[in-house]
Amino acid sequence: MVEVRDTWIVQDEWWRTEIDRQYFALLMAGGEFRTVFHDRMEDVWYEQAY
Amino acid sequence: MAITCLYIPHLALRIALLDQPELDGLPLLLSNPERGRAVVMDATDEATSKGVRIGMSLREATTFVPDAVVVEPNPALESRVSLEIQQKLEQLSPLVEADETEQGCWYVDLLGLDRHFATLTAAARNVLTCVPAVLRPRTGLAHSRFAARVAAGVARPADVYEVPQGDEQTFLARAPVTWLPLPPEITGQMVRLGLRTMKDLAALPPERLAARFGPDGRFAWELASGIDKRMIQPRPREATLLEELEMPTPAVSRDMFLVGIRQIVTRAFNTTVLTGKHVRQVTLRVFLENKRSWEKSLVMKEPYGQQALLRTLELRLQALELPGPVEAIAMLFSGIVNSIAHQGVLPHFQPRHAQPIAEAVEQLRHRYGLNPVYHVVEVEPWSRIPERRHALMTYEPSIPRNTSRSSSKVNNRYE
Repeated sequence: MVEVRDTWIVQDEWWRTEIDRQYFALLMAGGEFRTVFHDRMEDVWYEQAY
Repeated sequence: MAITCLYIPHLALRIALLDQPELDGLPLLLSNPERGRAVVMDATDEATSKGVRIGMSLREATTFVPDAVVVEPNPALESRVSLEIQQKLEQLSPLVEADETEQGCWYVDLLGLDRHFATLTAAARNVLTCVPAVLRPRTGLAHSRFAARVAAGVARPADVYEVPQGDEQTFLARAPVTWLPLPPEITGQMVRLGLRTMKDLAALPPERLAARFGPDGRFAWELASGIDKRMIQPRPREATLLEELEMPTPAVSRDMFLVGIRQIVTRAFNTTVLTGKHVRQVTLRVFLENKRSWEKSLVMKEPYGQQALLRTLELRLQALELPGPVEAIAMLFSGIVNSIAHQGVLPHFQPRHAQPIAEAVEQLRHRYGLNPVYHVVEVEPWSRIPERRHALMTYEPSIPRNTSRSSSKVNNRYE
């Protein structure tokens, strides 16, 4: 990873299954962009493919 | 600038007299007794002189005037009569403007007509001939628009009231402020502040009226002082087409009504006016039994040709409940433009026909016992959570009624 281009937090849907995520938009060494998020409820990392 | 104002008070009521002239002179009330609590929407002078007021319930009004004749609104006939009057006026002068805020009121610029009719008064009197006498038209002649309107308001039926040039302010002095072409809430405030006549308004400094009422206050002061620079704005010359159909027998069902609509649209698109053209707006006027009518304007998202227009009309009139047997239908086509071309699809990029896809899905369903074909649909495109924006749903192919390439494309487009 070369750079974190952006980061944002989504906290929503507390009325059903609460969502609390921190997203990162990353610029990779190969030049491609990837978006990953940290699920702060489960403390697990995912890649957002779309 | 010489302007005449043609004024027909209670137009909605008086058009009933075109068919029943024997009612002339009787107290007439405009109301719609079939809709909930019936109230008096308008009343002739014969009724108001006996205590009837607009807004009063019909039951209450008939206690004041037991012999009152109740007339139902006939919006389609009102439009037709208004258009006929306007067209006759336009044969007299090219500068004719219908007052959009007041029904039954037209302004005609008499520029140059004094040479044709010897005097301007004779020209203004000639304006009266454009209207059937039973409607009791009257005209006001003045050198400004507002003075002409007030003069028409005080003129006797079938007569011309002339305001000499330079006498506008004196003439207007006693006119009530409620006659100003302003929203009733503003004139109501003026009355509550003790400003009852034009003389009261004209006596105030215009800045104070502007400070209290904004631009309307300044405008009111100018009108009250006899200053009115508003010109007559003739309506834009727009190509329109009016097609009418008398039903062979009064139509009571929606299907029969739609047959009539289809016939009018087909006939209209076969005329030279609409051949190769699209329309953006259709005004539908329906004449019902017992001299009733209704009118509806339909504005399309984009100009439509014959087939697309028919489909749209059928769709929009799907929930229509006819309030009575339909005797005649009239359709006014406006917003006529050249046919709109749509970008076609290149041959290699055309979607596969629905029919083979439907067959393939059916075969897969037989083989696996369920439909294994899915497609992505948009569900919450506004969601901040990406996976909420789309959903995967079973693909159920719909087979178009007409599987020809061009028709199916149009179906997809307008369904």
